[in-house]
Amino acid sequence: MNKNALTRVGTLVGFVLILLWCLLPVAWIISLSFKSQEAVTNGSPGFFPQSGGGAGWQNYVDVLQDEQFRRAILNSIGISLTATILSVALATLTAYAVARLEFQGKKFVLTTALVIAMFPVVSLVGPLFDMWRTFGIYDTWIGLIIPYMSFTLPLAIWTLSAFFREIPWEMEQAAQVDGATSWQAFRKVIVPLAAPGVFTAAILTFFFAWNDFVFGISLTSTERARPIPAALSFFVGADPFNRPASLLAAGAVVATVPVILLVLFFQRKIVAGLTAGAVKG
Amino acid sequence: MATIEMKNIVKKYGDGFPAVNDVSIDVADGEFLILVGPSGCGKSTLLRMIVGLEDITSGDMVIDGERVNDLAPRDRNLAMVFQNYALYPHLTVYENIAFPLRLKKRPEKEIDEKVRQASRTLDLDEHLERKPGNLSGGQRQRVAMGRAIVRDAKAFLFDEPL
Ligand SMILES: Nc1ncnc2c1ncn2[C@@H]1O[C@H](COP(=O)(O)OP(=O)(O)O)[C@@H](O)[C@H]1O
Ligand SMILES: [Mg+2]
Repeated sequence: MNKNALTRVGTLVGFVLILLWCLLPVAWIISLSFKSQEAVTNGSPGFFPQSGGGAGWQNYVDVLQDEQFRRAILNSIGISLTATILSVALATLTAYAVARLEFQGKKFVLTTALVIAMFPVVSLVGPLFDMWRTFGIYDTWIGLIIPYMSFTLPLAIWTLSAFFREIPWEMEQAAQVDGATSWQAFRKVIVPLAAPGVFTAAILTFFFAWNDFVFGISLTSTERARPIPAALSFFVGADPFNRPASLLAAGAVVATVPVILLVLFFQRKIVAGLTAGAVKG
Repeated sequence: MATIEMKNIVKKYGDGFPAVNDVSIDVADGEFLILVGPSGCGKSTLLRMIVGLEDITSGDMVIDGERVNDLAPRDRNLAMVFQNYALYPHLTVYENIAFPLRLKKRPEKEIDEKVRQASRTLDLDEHLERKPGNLSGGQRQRVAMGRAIVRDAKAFLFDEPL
């Protein structure tokens, strides 16, 4: 065998291993979500749902009919979307200023933002719990939106200011000569050109908010604001000694679907090289 | 059209280097003026001061008898083709040319007429729906010119149009 073929086989084996590593747990949870409770508790069930008595779509029906779970989905969508929209809007404006203006303390703002992003989440939970109860925003949407924003804003600002720096100054200047105000130049020229950056920042923010467990479980106490990851951990079912594993699996699959849809939707928006053709070729 | 008077125009950039040093030129209404000089002698800088993209360090810029030193570019109503064209890459050729008219909120019918007239003059009819990224250098330049001539600007400035 020559070296070239060897490399190709090696690459292939690597790919397969990585795919197995990543997808096996997903396949397992999907399979689990179609199993009946008996199949899960009786001895050692096989990989495929039929092998121990399948449940069909019953687990999904049960989970979606559960009032608490439905409420948790609503909470998660509402909280994550609000945090994403606010965070991206604020980050866009901040990043634009950072990329275009020279002002005192710019470095300080950027470094501080980075430090905040690296702060361990658990170290803030205790103080926030106390503060939120004093302010009366414990167990509310806004009580989760605020920490999600402060953890995702820094990353969004850094990502976006990198994108803004890539856009030639002359784009805005041409717009101003064409009769645009600074705001119009920003909105009609700069934001569309920075769209891939805006979507990247949006995805990062949404993921953080959607996947968060620590804030979700410690800053809520009822279904008023409890998001999916926290709600799943409260999902005990009728028999507290027998966790309904297959129901939980169905819930986990339902919680993953919006994220996958979102990525597929945004992926098409992230087109690289959008500034090609702006200037002399 | 309009008259443009430059009186002792000086431009010093941040590093104190005088890019334009004491220039006085009067341009009459309808006059055609060409600035020729070696690279780096300040041609672009002077044009950018006329349209208002660059602060004037000292001297007066007078358009139609009005001192415009402190007017924003959009309030001077001048058209300019940038040295590197500065087309909007996310817009089609049609929308690039229509951009100044859309900002002025002209009626759709008027926009269409003017864009088509400009594209006929500049031989861009076949390319109206394409994006600047797929055009040749010369075609890009004509788009930039189209964007300048659709407006009823007081004067037209072309930075290195050859
Ligand atoms: N943003 C800037 N900062 C500092 N110096 C500049 C800047 N832009 C241009 N210059 C300087 O001003 C001089 C004139 O530049 P420019 O007007 O672009 O020349 P031209 O268009 O005639 O080739 C050059 O010496 C250049 O280095
Ligand atoms: Mg020049």
